[in-house]
Amino acid sequence: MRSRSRTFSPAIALVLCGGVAACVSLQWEPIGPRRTQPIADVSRVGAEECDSCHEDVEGHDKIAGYHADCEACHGGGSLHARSEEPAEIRYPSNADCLACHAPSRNTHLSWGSGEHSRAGLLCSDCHDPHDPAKQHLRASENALFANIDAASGLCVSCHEDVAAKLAFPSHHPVREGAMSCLGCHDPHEDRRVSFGDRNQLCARCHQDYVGPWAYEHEPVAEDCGLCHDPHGAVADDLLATIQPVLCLGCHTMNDFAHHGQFTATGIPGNTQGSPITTREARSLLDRCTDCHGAIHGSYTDAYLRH
Amino acid sequence: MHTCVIRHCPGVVLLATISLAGTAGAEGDLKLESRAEASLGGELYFIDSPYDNDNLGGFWDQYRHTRKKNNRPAHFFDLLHFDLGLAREDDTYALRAEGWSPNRNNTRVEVEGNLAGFDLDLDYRNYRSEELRYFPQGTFQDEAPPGFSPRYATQYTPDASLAEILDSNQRLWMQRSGIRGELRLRPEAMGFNLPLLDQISLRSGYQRRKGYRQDSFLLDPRERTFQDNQRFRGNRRRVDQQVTSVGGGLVLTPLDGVTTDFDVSFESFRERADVVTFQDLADADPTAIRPPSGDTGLRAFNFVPDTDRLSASMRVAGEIGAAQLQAGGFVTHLRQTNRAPLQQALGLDKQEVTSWSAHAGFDLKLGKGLALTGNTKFAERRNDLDESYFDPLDLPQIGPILRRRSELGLRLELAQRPRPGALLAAGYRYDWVDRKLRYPAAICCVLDRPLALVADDNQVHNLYLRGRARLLRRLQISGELGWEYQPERAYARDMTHSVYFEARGAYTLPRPIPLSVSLQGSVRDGHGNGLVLTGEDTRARKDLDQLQWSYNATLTAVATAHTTLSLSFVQQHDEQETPYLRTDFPRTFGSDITNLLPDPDRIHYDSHVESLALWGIQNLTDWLEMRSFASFTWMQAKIGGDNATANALEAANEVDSRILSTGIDFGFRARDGLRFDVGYRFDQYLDHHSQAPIDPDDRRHTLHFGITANLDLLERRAAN
Repeated sequence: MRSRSRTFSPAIALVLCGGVAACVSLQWEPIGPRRTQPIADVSRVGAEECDSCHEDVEGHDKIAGYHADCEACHGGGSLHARSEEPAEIRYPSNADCLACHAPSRNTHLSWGSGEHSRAGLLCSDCHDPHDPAKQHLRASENALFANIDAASGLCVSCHEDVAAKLAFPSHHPVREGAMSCLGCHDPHEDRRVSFGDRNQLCARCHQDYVGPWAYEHEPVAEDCGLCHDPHGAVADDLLATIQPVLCLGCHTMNDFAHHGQFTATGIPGNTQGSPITTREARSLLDRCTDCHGAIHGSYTDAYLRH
Repeated sequence: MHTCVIRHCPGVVLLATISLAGTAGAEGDLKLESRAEASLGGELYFIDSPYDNDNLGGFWDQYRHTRKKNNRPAHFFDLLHFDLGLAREDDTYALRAEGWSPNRNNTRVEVEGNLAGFDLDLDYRNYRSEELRYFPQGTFQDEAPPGFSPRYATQYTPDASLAEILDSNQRLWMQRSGIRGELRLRPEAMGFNLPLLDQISLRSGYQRRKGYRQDSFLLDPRERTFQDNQRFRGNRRRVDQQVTSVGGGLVLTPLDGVTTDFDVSFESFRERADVVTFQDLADADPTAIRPPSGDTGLRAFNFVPDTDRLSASMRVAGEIGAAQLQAGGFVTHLRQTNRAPLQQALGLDKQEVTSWSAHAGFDLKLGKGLALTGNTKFAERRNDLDESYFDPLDLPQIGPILRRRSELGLRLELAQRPRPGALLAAGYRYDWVDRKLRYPAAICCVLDRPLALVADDNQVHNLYLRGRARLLRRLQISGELGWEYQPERAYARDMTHSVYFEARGAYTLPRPIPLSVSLQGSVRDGHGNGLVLTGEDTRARKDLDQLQWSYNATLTAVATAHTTLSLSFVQQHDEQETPYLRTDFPRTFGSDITNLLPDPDRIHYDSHVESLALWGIQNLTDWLEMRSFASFTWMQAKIGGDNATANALEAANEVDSRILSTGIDFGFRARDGLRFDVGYRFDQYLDHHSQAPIDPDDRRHTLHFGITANLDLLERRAAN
């Protein structure tokens, strides 16, 4: 590819250097604030003893009743109460949370193999059980996303690449607060075992594109993601690549139907108004969907024009 | 209550009131405290010409609708936010209703009720989005005015005079208003001791979509008169859709530690807008369109079918020894309930699609931090299209019909956790897709299998290594390196080989000021070996090279106890190269194709996006807070190549635009429970490619203001 060396090098170098540096400097250090293993030889001291020092916890002086038994999640606090050392109290593990929140509920059925579980996230990365906020979601401060809903604000605080796409000219209206990341994603489940084929998710809101059609466009029937980037795109209509490149990536162009020379007086960079002599020029100068307007499917036209 | 809620959603208010009363009654022995906070405010818009015209949608109207832009200044005034509820002593809510309206036609209201064993969620949304498309004067809309042709405008279609474009209201928009609710009952928490049954849920939803979309299409020689420049036609199509859904589910515990979930739902989709047929179009524009004969006039333009969808699913998860197991199944049946005019004339009824899937997975702890996880999923989609549809009217089915698509996926991963917080894993993924493609018999023309752009089968093998570690106490890194191989590809855009690497690192520095740095990057480099197309005397390969990379870096600092600053930079890049294939005849001419012209045309596509964002929150005094932000995004996408075709593409299809937004807000706390906000925002979109009169450059200044009252705090203050 022509410009690969020019464009490839900065990003690759940056990412690879980071990876190599991280690997060579690998040192197994004890985990401090995230230590979730049980501590030996501890006993319960009771929540009142905890309250004697922790008048508020992470800024909250009231804890929801079902979370008010500190040692149910943090383990016995006898050593910590004596020494007041942070290292002598443990932080809740996911197993502590799931002991109550998984049985008899349908919200964590595939959590164990889900992306967030595999990435090593703790429940407390997103939830603060001390906070009475809705679903105990942690607050995320970001002046750029004034209207985003609380859950999505939390998502984009880690998924910064997605946050960037939500500002592209074509995007789903998440930053505007009209949609939530949770409308499509379930952070507790494993998307690899989601129900049905890949288009079931899109069909929940875009019923008018799923047909059933007499004349199908095969990629539409298989996977919307073959053409669209749902988070955001430079091209119109969330297209992953601008037209006509996207279409010509698969399709050929025939002279029979697409011929026609065109004097391209309005084309930027062609101010002299010299004719474009390539036979298919006129077809290529517009978007393919300007003529093939029924690109998702049709009842009347095999060429998906209407 | 919010005016939009009252206007569009009386049900929310009604249900909230009923639930409020019910909640208060049910928890009568508990102490419930009312909470209320509301923000009243608005915005003043100063928009540059020509988008200060209510007939014309600009770039910023796409996602932030501005009503009555002809006003000087255009403005919006409403209840911006409210939060009402009944709270318990521990600050949790028994009932809460919260709503937001950041701008016109962007409202959401969430109602949450929570009693012992009784959960209620209601969600109301109303949102208008807009499309940046332009129509010439006289565009056909429902009924074309006499003397005007149904045309549409893009930059280079010869049918539309660009001078005609900026005419009376031709905005394309879609407004979605809907409410959905779910009621969950947990018998045990309600005092009922029912074996097996843990939860019953019922849900329902309704959404209305109204607006206009662009239809654009091309007439073929049989359909038009002799004027070559009257081929391109358009229609501002009215949209009036309704989606109604109901469903319910059960959660059961058949065995100790085993949870089962059943769910059934039904969805009805209806398009109420009129159908536009070829005959309608010919009647409106007889000078350009030949009068259709017979049933050809019944052909509908962009007909949207009404459908019913019935779905059911089941999942089960549990633990057996050291293994966690899960499995599930799903089936959905989509049925067309109305008929296009042509279908009616032909008496054809069968149009259904059925999809189903089944999956199973396990997570097995092997001891000493070693774990094996895996899952498998099979999914199938079956299209029961009545093929006789194509025969009677000389309607060719030029491509294959995807009768059935079957997909099998397998995944296995072995992971070692040497220390808490650290992980090293190796995995393998396999996907196989089998398509039953039906190539119909030729009528006038039909596509041959050697010239089809989709293959019967494809397989993907994926090997990867991933790891995660916490280094030096405050440095976390994670990454995945993988290789994908597709010995059989389905589409020309599929990669035969690709290598990818994703990494993420985060470092926190407590001194001298709390500082966190995160760096995230990904790269994927692949090549697709040619999909081979075969004509009579010729063969051509459709290769693809693609390189995508992106990274982002974010630095967040708590500069002082009262100041938080954040700076982030994102760069994303996409580079593709593929042969541009011309043929002398359409692929449907099969063996008549004597020329496939692959060389030397290669299309090169290069897309860059860079985005820089800076924001800060500063408490200037105990009663004054300042929030500010600035973001700047550069976007460029270019097409290039080695010959005239590519040069023509390069000139015409470029994207070269900038988005700049910056703003500052001041929040002034006048007293406990009373706050005033005032702010300014500047938004600019610059398009360096499009030319007047299609010039999307759009600039606007926004002044906003609000007053927020927390009634509880005000009441307490008054009592003191």
